[in-house]
Amino acid sequence: MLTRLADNLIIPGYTTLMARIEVCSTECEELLADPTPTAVLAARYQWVQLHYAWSLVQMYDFGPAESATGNLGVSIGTFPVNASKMESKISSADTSTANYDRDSRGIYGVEYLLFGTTGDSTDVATGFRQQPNRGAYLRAIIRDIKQRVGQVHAAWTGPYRGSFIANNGTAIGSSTSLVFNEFNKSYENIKNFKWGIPLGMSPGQSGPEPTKVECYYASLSTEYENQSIAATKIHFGGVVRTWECFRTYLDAVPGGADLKTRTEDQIDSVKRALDAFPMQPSLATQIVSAPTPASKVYTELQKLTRFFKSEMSSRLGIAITYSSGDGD
Amino acid sequence: MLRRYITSTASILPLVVLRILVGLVGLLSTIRFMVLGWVDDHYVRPVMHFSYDGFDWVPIPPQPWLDALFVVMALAALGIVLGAWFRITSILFVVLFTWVFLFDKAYYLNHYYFIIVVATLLAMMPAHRAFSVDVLRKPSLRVDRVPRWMVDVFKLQVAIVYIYAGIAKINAPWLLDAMPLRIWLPAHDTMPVIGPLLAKPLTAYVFAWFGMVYDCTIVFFLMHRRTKWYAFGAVVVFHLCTATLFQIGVFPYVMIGMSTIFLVDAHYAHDTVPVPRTIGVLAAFILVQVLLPLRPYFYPGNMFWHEQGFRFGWRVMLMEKAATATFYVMDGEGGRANEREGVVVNSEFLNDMQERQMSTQPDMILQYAHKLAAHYRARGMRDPHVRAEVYATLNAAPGRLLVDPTQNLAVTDDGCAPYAWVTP
Repeated sequence: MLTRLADNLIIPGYTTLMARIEVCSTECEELLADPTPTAVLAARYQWVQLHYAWSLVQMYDFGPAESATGNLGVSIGTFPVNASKMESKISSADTSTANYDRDSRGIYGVEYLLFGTTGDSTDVATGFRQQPNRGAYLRAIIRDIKQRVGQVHAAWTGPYRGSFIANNGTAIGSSTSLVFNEFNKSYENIKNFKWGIPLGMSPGQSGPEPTKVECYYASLSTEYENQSIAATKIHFGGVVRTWECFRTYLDAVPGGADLKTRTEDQIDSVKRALDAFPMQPSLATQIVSAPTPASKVYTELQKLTRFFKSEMSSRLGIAITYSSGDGD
Repeated sequence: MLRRYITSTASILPLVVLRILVGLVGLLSTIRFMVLGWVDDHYVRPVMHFSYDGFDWVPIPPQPWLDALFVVMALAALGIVLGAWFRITSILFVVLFTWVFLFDKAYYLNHYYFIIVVATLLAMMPAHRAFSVDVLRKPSLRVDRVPRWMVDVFKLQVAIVYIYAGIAKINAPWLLDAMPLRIWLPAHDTMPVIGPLLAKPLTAYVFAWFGMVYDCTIVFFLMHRRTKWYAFGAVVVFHLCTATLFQIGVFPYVMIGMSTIFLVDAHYAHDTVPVPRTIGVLAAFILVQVLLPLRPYFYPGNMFWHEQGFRFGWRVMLMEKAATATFYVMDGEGGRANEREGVVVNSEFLNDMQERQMSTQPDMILQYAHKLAAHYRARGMRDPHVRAEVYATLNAAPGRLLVDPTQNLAVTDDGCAPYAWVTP
């Protein structure tokens, strides 16, 4: 299972992501050399590819993706970004990434710069033309993403793959427990932060908050308003791919076969809810104007949670790596 | 005869060994806790804490006082090891360790409680009156012999732990289905040599029955002069096994260390030492130790499911339980039926460990619901209704509802009565 995960999902995932970052970076350089609306559209297209690649590896936020200053997911995947903080950094020509302002950079920081608050490519091109600082900031945060992903990618294509595969079993610190725990965290993040919070599901919220959807700025653009919906569907695709690596384990354990059936029934329910979820208008618009299909997706994701979060770990005897590993 | 027993003496050596051992465990756990950054992870970062019944007044000092508390606790433990100002350091250690223990029951561990129990007993004993800094300071303190019961009381305490742990294993899932060992052992099937054996169900049955018999009987073999060394060998092997197979921290080593009390020659003799007044306190303490673990037997239903009276009973490594708890909150003011119900993101309030513990234990589920109600009331809700949908899985059974999902937990009181809102 670990070999399959490493060689079929994780390493190719990071390799693709690295390639997408390269292409996006090149396209952004062309945009900065000559800021035209056409160049903006070309750079946006590459950003969408980059985001797609990211959505497939974001749940592998362990091992090389862990660092003293925060995991890769936090470093380059924080959303929503703080637009006013970014604007003030741009006007003061502050391009440093050696700080904890993750909400002013990363993949969603690039999104903000390329799509802007109106979604109009002419506005974005004008911004880059008039503010050299803006281009410098874009360049700096892309460099930061490239550097961080590059480190993770280098570790996986280098020594980490071997130790990951050798570290078998399900005890504390084993590769399976790492994959499993990050998978669960990532799943809950998708459910809570990509659906629940924008839908206004939290008791502290009085209604939907469209600006909190993932890819909010991309969804303002008429060319890419499907983006956030497509990305969310893709996220679940990533969940299912990882689940397929786990499911074979369940055959061998007490109660496993039954759990597998019940989990897959619920996965099918989520898929049906996602299929019934219209591709247009954007998620940000739908949660305000017609929230029922989105709520349905959230509800089905919620029902699926327990199968991953408690039942699977319990059946497989996977050590949940909590700080206090001192047992009973 | 009782008088004759109480006035007879034993060598002080077992007490000295115990003093050094308990001090070292206290010292190492405290240092480890600090070095691993657990002070902040456990007590500073989380915004909510779960107090024990009747102890919600116990404050958690803010930083840097909390770090200072741990440093003083480590120094006190060192004082116990060295027998330096033992009366003060031992009592200080018990007070500080218990204080930290009471911060949050999400981190309850039987071995923390065990350290409290043993350190409390020790603080009542003259364990510093040989091989200690105190004797160097004041040679007149030095004694070679102590009342016999002072040594025996620790044997009794170890016996209470083992026997209750053994009795707890006499239940149908453990003995007849080899649960949860049948889940836990195969998880180690990649271990060298014995790995493949661990995957076999028969191995789980052997472990289950052996574990039960071991826990119920080991102290009797330890007490018998002829068998004590064999029994100690069994203690070492047994606990090293559990240390390798399960995530139970220092507990196996503590038990190995404690068992040495049976080995160190106490050299009993009939004597006529006076009976100190502390013996009454001690008798009461032991009585509490005998009675506390019996609480869950007074509640109907499966104690592994409702967990009422479960703590402080040496029920260790007995079940594989996991749950996912989802809390729904709405403002029920004026009974507005269409009021939207919000779903709580638990990670907003609890760390992973707290959430995991809370999800499986009904008393903590209720406590969390009350805390959520208070939180949303402070944020402007007039009458927060809190209900919980908790799917729990016990020993690989399909997950089912642990508490009544329609119950408004915000107005449900805790207490000693059986929880009517927990599903049977």
